[in-house]
Amino acid sequence: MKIGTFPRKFRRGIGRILDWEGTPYVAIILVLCYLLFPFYWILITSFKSIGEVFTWPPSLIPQDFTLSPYAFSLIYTPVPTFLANSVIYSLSVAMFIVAVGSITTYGLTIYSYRGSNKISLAFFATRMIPPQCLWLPLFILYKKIGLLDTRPGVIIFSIILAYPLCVWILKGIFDAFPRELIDSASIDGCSRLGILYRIVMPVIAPGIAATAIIAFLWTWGDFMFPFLILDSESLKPLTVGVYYFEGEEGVMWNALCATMVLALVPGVAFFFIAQKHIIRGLAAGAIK
Amino acid sequence: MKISNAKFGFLCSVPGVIGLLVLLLYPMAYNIYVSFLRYDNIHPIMFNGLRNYRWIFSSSDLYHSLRVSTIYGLGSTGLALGLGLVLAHSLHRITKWEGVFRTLSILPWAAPLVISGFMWRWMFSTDMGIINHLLRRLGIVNENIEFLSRPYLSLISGMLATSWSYAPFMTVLLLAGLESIPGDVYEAAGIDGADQLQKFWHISLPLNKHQVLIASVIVFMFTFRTPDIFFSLTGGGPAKFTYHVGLFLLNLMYRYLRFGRAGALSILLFMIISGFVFPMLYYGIMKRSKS
Repeated sequence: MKIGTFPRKFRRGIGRILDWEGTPYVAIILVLCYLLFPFYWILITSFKSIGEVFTWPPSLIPQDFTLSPYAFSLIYTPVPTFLANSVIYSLSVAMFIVAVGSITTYGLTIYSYRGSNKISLAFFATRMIPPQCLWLPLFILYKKIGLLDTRPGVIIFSIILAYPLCVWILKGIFDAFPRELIDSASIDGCSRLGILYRIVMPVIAPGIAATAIIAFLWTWGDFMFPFLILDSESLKPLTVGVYYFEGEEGVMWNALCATMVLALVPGVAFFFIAQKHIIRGLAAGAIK
Repeated sequence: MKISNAKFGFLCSVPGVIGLLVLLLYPMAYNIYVSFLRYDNIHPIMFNGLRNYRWIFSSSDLYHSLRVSTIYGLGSTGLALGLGLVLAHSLHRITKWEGVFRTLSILPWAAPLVISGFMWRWMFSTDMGIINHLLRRLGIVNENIEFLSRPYLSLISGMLATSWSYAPFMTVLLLAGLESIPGDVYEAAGIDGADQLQKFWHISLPLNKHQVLIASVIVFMFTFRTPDIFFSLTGGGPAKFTYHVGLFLLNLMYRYLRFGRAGALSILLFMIISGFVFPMLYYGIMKRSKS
């Protein structure tokens, strides 16, 4: 379909509307209504009493504002345990990835050797393996070596998923690092690991932090595998734990919404703090 | 004891590489092995030849769930692409409050998929849902709609929830592509009197089409293989109308404990995904790096 075949007046009209400076703002605000309303709605629900939640029609603003859903889920349910578990899993994965991933990437990019480019590509290719295809073999292998229903089991799986992505993101960051700085440091007699920790890392700290955040959020949102391998309430992360609120007689929506708000906090907070770096990292990881 | 730079690079990266390969390739190889076993947690494990594959291919659930996944993936990708195009082009043009708008438009990304499924389930609720309330207030419908228990509607609801989750990802990728188009192309077009529609149709879209292709393929791949949203939104129902292929795999291994058959399905899934995703991505990336 060529644009010239549109009726001329009609096309001119659309063109003029789009030309108006305010159009992109209007478009963004319209789309944002769709993207942000769910957040508003669960936030509002999390401040409603159980009686109000089950009344029709639902009110757009809580009639009697209450914090009891939060109090309920934080005191009478294992939600604090779920939260702590999510933090433990996500932090361990993020720390591991920064510690090991930065050394791996440092070797792969700065001191390239025969085949190092191919290895980087192999890292990228492994991202195409669907995590779904690892559920079954890892489940059986975990059963054999006793990792079912353990913390390391969850952490190892998340590392397998996040590690290639993060190495790929780190590669972009290391590649952009000015070579002259490394060369002059090594002429000054700085050891190669010293260069990494004293010269490279401080400069690329924002990128490293963004990578850590990405690994953190990745693990934070992981659901299916932890759900498959974890049985004990005391080990479940928040994404699995939300099923606590789905009982035989229905769902406790206000307490569930309060818990979901807690599950959204880290992601939202990180995006507000480091939007630019995270986006750059994720875009690089997804396409390059 | 000074070792060469290349050797140093090798030593630095080898533990991570080997570790990852062992943790990834060994399970994949083991998966292939399991797919040839009679492994149903009842009978003793024994070699089964191709019987698991034969069973999978004769199962109507396979074709049904693949169809559901494909329709769902295409629908979600289409919706996310529409939203992404509008958002990316608008964000590219604005000059005020750019940072705030960018942050706000990627926020759905912060929601884990299973949480997103719960959020939308609550909004789609028949008796207490806000969407029904708003539709009735606006006079569009007269009685509450059962979004999640009507056959085709449940699939469409799933697409809406999913496109909500993936729109930010789409936007980020498209925006990265748009920003790499040099600004003077637009300037020149503006001097020649092109309006925004012409600029979009004759500049942005052609110059960004490989990015659009890559982003769409990636989102399709994610939605085709990830059942998390349906797990919490509909649980596969009503009557398997949202029986995503990931849910089929999950049921085989977790509910029926048919590990051999689940292994065969895993391998099949892997081959389907690599069969159409690899060529598409390869094509997109090659084309882009050439242009």
